[in-house]
Amino acid sequence: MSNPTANVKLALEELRDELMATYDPSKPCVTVCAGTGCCASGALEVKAALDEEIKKQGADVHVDIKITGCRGFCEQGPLVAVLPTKIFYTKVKQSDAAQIIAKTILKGEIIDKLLYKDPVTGEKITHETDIPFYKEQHRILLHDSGSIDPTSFEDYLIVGGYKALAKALLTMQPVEIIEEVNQSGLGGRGGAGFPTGKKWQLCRQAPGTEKYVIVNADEGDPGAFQDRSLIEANPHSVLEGFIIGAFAIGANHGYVYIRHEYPLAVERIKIAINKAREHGLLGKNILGSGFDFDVTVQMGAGAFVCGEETALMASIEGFLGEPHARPPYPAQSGLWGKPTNINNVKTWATVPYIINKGAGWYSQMGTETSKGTTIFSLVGKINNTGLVEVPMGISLRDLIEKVGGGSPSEKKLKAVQTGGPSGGCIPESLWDVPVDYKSLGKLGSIMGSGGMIVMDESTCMVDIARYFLNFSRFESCGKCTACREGVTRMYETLDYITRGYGQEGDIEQLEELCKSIKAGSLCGLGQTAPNPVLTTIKYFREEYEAHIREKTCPAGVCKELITFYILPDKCTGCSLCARYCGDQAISGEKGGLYVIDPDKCQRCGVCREVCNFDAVVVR
Amino acid sequence: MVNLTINGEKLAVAENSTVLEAAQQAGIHIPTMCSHKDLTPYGACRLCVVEVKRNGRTVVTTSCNTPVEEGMDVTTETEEVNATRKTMANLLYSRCPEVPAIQRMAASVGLLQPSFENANPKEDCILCGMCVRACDDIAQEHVLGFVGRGMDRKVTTAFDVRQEVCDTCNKCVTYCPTGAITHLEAPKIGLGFKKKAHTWKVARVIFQYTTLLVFLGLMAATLFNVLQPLTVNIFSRLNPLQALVAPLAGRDLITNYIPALLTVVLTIVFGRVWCGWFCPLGAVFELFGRKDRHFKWQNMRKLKYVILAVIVVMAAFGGLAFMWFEPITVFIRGLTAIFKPLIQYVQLDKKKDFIMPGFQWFAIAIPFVFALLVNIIEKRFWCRYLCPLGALVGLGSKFSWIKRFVNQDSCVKCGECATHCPMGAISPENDFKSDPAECIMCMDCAEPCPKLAITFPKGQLGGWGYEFDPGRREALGTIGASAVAVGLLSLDVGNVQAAKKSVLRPPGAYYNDFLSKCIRCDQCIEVCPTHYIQPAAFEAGWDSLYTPIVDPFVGYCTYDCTLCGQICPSHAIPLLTLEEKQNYSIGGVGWAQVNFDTCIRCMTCLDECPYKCFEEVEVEGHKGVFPRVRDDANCVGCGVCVDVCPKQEVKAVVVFPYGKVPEEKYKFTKYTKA
Amino acid sequence: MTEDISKVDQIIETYGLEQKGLIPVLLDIQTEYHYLPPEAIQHVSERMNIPMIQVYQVASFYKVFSLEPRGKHIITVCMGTACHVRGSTMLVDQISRVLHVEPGETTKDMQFTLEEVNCLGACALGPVMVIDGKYYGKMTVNKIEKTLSKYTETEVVANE
Repeated sequence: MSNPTANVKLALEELRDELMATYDPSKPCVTVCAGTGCCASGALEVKAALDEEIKKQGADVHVDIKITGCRGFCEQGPLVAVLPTKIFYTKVKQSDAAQIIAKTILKGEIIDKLLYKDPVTGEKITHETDIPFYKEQHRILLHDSGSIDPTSFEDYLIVGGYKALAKALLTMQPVEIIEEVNQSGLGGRGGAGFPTGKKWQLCRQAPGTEKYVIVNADEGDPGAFQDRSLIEANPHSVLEGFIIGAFAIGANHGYVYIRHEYPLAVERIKIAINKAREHGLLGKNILGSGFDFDVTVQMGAGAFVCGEETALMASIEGFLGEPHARPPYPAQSGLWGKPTNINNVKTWATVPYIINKGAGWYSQMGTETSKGTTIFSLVGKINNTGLVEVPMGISLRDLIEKVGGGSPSEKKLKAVQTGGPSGGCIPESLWDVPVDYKSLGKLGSIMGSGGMIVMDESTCMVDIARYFLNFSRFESCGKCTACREGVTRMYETLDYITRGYGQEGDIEQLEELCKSIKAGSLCGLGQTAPNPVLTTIKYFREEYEAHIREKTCPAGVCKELITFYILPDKCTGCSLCARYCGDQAISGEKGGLYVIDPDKCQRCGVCREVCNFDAVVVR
Repeated sequence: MVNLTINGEKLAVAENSTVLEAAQQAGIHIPTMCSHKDLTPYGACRLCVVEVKRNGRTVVTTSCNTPVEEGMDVTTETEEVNATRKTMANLLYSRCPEVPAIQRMAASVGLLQPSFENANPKEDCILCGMCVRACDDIAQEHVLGFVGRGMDRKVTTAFDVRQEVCDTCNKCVTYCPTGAITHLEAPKIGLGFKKKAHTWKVARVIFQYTTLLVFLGLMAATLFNVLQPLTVNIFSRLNPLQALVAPLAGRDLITNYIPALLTVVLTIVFGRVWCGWFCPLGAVFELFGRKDRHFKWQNMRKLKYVILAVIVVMAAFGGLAFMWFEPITVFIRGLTAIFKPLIQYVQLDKKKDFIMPGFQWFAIAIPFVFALLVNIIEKRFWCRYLCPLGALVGLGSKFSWIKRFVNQDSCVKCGECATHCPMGAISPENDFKSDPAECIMCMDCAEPCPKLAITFPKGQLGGWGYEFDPGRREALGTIGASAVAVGLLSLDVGNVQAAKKSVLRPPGAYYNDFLSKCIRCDQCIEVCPTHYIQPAAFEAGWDSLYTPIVDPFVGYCTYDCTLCGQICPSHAIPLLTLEEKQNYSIGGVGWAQVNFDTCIRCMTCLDECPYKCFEEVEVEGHKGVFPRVRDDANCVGCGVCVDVCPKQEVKAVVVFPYGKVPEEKYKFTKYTKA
Repeated sequence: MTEDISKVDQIIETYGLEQKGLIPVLLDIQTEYHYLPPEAIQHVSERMNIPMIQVYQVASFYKVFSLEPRGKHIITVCMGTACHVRGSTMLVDQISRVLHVEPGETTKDMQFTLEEVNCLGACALGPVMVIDGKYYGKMTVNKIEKTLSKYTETEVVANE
């Protein structure tokens, strides 16, 4: 592209002006959340039904309808919001479409049954912002997620998109950008929290003209989906930050490394890249600044270890996703031996906001050491499952009880697991600590990429540790002894314990193994894999001891240590459990009482699952 | 140069070197199982962890792939480092509990038992990736790779399909630290090498047992007298020990032993192949016994040199007293003792007539039985500790052109070869090398070697192997023992000189330096069709044990038979023509004399004597006519007269050694028929 | 059975012959054939001039790739933490029982392949099961047979 500077700038701003001129904020607009969660719950069918209804009822002149990215409140999906009144409907079905158009759009009435009902107070809430789940949040990155169409370049321009890019490229020097990011105190959102500005600087200073930047969207942690959501909801913000970063570092090519398991996110980032390229925001001489940059989307092929930067780079190069020793660090010798900078999706996405609003604005949020906001995916035994953005430093209790809405059942919450397989379990008693890199680290956990899994009394901590190690053992690349052998041995020991073969000394042996594996592993996967074990031993040692000494599972999870029993007074004799039992362990007569034969029972729990009368219990 | 501190010691190393290299340069040992100077560092085994302080940060990291930096402070052993290292060792040990290299490594960090059980205790691959790196970097074949991940990771080829290059390249093999490389399921690395080694082994076994069968065939032929005896004794004639001592003691060039030169040449070229390929007794030893057992006192191996030395020194003084220790003779005597009476029994028409030979006869098999018995303790016990012939060819193979060679770059000291060595010759203390004098070139060790490290290359002809010689004390011992033996010989202990003269020897031996040449093989006994030749015990002196004597009370010398002379490899019984044998002054055994006191004058001897030696005499004080050997007769002492004499039990006629014929007790006069 | 690998060349064209194109090429082949046919791997190795073992090990390392032919319908059960605590193991057990396959295996009639995946990122809907790209959130053991029957039925109809 050889457009002169002024013209390109004009083109972008002209387009924006043009769009702003036609944009009527007061025009009703129905937004349907189309994140993976809502789609799975039938959001696209709802959208189709709405389209049809609008035509049928002749409302198409009065109302816009569009899909948006993930609103985070996946639990309640499919979500439909009506703008500008911000009436918020949850769990919308296809059959509700007619009513929404007829009542809410055309008459302005609120449909009571579609409103969110606060599980604590029982109060119906009309507006999104009043729902506690949203009220306690501080949404910056996710601010536009619910209002813009992720596939639309124009929508992003309307909310002020690519302003930061123009500012950075045309008015700032790379060093100034780095300084600004440095000042903001932004830390790597991939979990380690390494100062982003410093990282950029190292890469910028590294000798060589050929440099690379990478978006790490290989979000492999089970129970975390914020990267996916962010890309699905607002891919342009990631891209904008990415281009700014590339400019600051001096890289001319970038890769977006994204999980193959996220097809929707892949599709959306690809659309965004194409649109950006069409508008001259990628390619040669971007915005006339003389800066060339282009992006390739590279899909991960299913390997958790590829979230580790050296393994990720090996994967991009087309090799096994095996980590390499550092030093040399990627900033000196990364992709194809060239200086490379890798940052998480959220880190890149934060950059435009810092450029737009300034480092000072950003650094006033958060704590002394950890600045800004961060996104958690709050899942598990909790009322409000979903994606939340909160300022750093919020206490775990606030996060879980206020934002998350506490336990959905009568069972008490007992721990929260942060950071996925690399993180640890934090007991309820310590929930008053502020959430930041340092304090979580002190508790033996990590921030990780932001997965947060809440557990209640019915979760066995030994089983959870076993679960995570099972994950790690299959995701270990197998290169180094510590991780390949060590994690497997830890898993075996835990497996023995959960099956009632635990012995005195097992806990001590586990602790010793953990220490050595932490010290001896090649990459982050191995170094952090012991965390779930260490923290559960540290905070829930009595559960381990119960398994080992008394051969019981206090939470009633570990199959070999429990028996299933049908409460005679609750059993209605419906025979459902007997039909589902794969081991023919349940006998009885229809209408009579059913009994479980403990010798035949394989303790799969299917009977408890299917019983409609809570008659099956664990002893 | 980069300056750094290791364990408080300041040193300067080349740029781009690793911490591990720096430590090695400083003489500090850091255990590792996945690094090699030829290969790019990989960092898989995690044993080489050290504590590194740089820029104020302290980390535990692997030394093999950490480049040195200016001002770095490295500590190779801290509590944390040691604990980590021990855990890594434990994990590797638990994975491969049966690999000696891993066991040693674990022991070196103070770990004697693995903490965890492996479902597959035979596992020996630690996934260090040395082979993969060698395949990529050194061989540039790109055949091997890691397939799968996590615990399922393994080294194999694409689609587990074997590549042909794996037959020829073998570059990876040297680098494998455990020996797993040749056990990999799909690539079957070193298959070509192993096949070749196997072929050689099979060839040897076939050769060895063919030889045994030939030997047994020859023995049978001897027993049945169906072959020309000249080819029958070929095993003795190829025998270098006999070829050495018989001419030495007998002070005679015995042309019969020219074939032994072939053995000498073979030994100089191929080493102790006599024992591994040729020796029929060795072949029998191979059939049973435990090769995994090792006698505690390996110094005992020198005993066979002592025995050899005693034999040789005595030979130098003209005696062959201990030649019954020679293995071919041991075997022959063993077979003779068993089969000779057996065949006799089978051939007898009237089984009642069979007379079981006495203990003295079976005593000749004692060394054979002994050798078989001790073989149960250890395979080839005889060959290892006792065999003087083995000692002799062993000495020769010290100079042999072809020797067993262990590639020390490849050897992982797994000890697999030692468990296959029938000689126990492979010394774990000496890096699994073997004394060429002990190695019998059986090549059984080459195929099982997982590192393909054992070859039998051509070396320097006449080059000395590595040292395994009797030390000063042993040498003194040898000389001492030999001196005692010679002393026994010369001091005439037990009055042996007299005893010697009191026995009859096979035809012609009397005129020969018999005891200086007889190698105690007893083939003459075996071949003698009439059992005239019998083994001696101690009646002819202790040094005549197992030598042949003739006993007219058992058999007689067939008139037209010269088999004993033909079969005697050392010409102790001279090779005579029939005419010569029938001439008493050349082939005589002794002189017959009639005892007039017990003779019943039946005259059968006179009638039956093939040499017509008898005359009729009248004896003073006795009635009637008696048979008597004429003074001018050609009595060769064939013993027919004794054999036919009906009054054997009262010794009516006796064969005496020449010079030991007693004076006639009574006066006699020639009887002329009236 | 040999696969028609004519499309492989076309796929290689898209990404070029450099090593970095390997994983994208394999991903596209996987999408096209639902697994990586050995012929395709060999062809990729030859065309891209990458040693076969390197292609093979990449194919065996990454979970997405399958070296075995897979069923017509791919059932993926999320084993992420959120799904785990909500009982995804039971789902897998139940599917195994219904289809007589273990995770990672394909039914004999080549209709279904059962797979486990670490996290689909739909944690709020756990336990999640995906069949041919369609998400089934908040699955329960009771619903499994009914859901699966939808796929078997259409199959029967299609075959008739």
